[in-house]
Amino acid sequence: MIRSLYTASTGMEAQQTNIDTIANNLANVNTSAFKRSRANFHDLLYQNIKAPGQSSSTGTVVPSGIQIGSGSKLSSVDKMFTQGAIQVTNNELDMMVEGQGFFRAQRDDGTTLYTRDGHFSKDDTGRIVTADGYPVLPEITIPSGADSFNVGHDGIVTVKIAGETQEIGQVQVANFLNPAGLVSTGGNYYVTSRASGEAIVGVPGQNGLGRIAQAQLESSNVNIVEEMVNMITGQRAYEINSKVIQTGDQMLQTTNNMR
Amino acid sequence: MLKSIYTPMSGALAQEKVMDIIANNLANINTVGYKSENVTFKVLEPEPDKYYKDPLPPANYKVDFEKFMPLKGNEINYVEVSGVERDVSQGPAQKTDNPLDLMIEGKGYFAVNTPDGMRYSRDGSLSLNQDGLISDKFGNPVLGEKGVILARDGFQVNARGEVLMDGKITDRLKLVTFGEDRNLEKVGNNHYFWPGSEDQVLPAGEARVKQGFLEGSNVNPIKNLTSMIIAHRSYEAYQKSIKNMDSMMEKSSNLIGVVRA
Repeated sequence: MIRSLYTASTGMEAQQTNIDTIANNLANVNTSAFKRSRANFHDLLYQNIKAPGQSSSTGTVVPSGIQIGSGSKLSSVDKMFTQGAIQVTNNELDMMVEGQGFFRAQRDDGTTLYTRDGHFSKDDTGRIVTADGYPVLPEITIPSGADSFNVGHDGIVTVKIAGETQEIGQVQVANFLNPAGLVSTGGNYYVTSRASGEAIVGVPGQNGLGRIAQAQLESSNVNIVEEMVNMITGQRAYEINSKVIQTGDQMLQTTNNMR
Repeated sequence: MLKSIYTPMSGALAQEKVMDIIANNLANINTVGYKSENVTFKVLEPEPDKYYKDPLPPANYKVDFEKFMPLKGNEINYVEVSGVERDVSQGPAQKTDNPLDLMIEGKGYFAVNTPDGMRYSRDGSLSLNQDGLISDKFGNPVLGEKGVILARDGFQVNARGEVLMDGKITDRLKLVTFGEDRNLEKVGNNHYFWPGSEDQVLPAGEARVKQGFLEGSNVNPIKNLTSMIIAHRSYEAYQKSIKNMDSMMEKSSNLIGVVRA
């Protein structure tokens, strides 16, 4: 009796996290290069009251045993690294990775950050920096007086100085064995973890890495309809589990009123 | 004492177990690959003459052996949960478009190599672990026919379960079935444990794999809520009859023996 109360509460807890994840996805529906998350669940330990295949008191073999489960639990919240829709911005400093890969940037403490958000700008020295001002790796400085800033599919950055085309650097992208193992740090950045593996840095368009597209941004890969449907099922599952708790409570009450 | 008070008690205890099973089903209504469970009951037959002596017939009672069987000791039935049956029907397909999500159509289980030994699972929400191996959400490698499967983002899995990297088949997912899959034990973490011998683990012939889909839980909320109402009300009814028998016993102990002036 008491068990079903706790079992249902694990279900409610799991669904609560599910709704939290969906809320974060929906809040970031317009965040460029945002990758949606998904909560995954698994069932909890089972209490074996009677094992299947055991022989019964009458000498026959029990066809189905009695196992009572103890509810569900959150197993992981995964980032889904599917491509977001393309948004043409006509801003020459905006870049997008078409395919797999992350831009790299350096935080002030020396940590390498990884991001899919190619909303870049120039700082006071002409360096290409992210929206938060972290320099993009490898550092590319646009000389003063340069115009026609151009980034090729392979990441080679060229500018025109006094009518002459000059190559000033190459944007690199990094990929991971397991991108879902990256840790989100906010600000559209990720850092590596033991689960993600080491970064494999390379030239865009080679070895399975995505190409660079200039003057475009990747929009969020959140699908509103899907999130809404997930929200509905999450809410109803939450409700159903609360009904189980109510019923369990009423049954306990019946027992208490027996005398 | 009224021995029959134990009959509704056994019923109430059985309904408690039903509630536990329903609670677990409903808690896992969004768990990928979860299989719903049903409770079956059995009647514990009375076992006359085995443990109980024949009650003494009333003083003026004349037993006509031609017509009646003599009274027996334990004539009361009890109810007990006999087993929990798993509904192994296919869960609904959920389209996710995530290449790491696989769904098994038909009978079959993924083989997962955990530190505790082989486990089997219907949960196809997979990951790549730090070594680039296809694994479950706990980092346990999911096995192919050649062992662990090394993959990279962008791998493909076809309907036969073959893993393709850059258009070339590198391995095939090991999908297994069991002669009697109701003998599989659930051990949590969406894993099943096979208590039988290795040679009863057979390759899954009819299973097909769908990439970008997940198999949802096959728990039917309507069915489970209805069963919950029934369990709740039968529990109440059992309690009522216990209460009635209690008041009967109260009457016999307090009223029959009353001496009135």
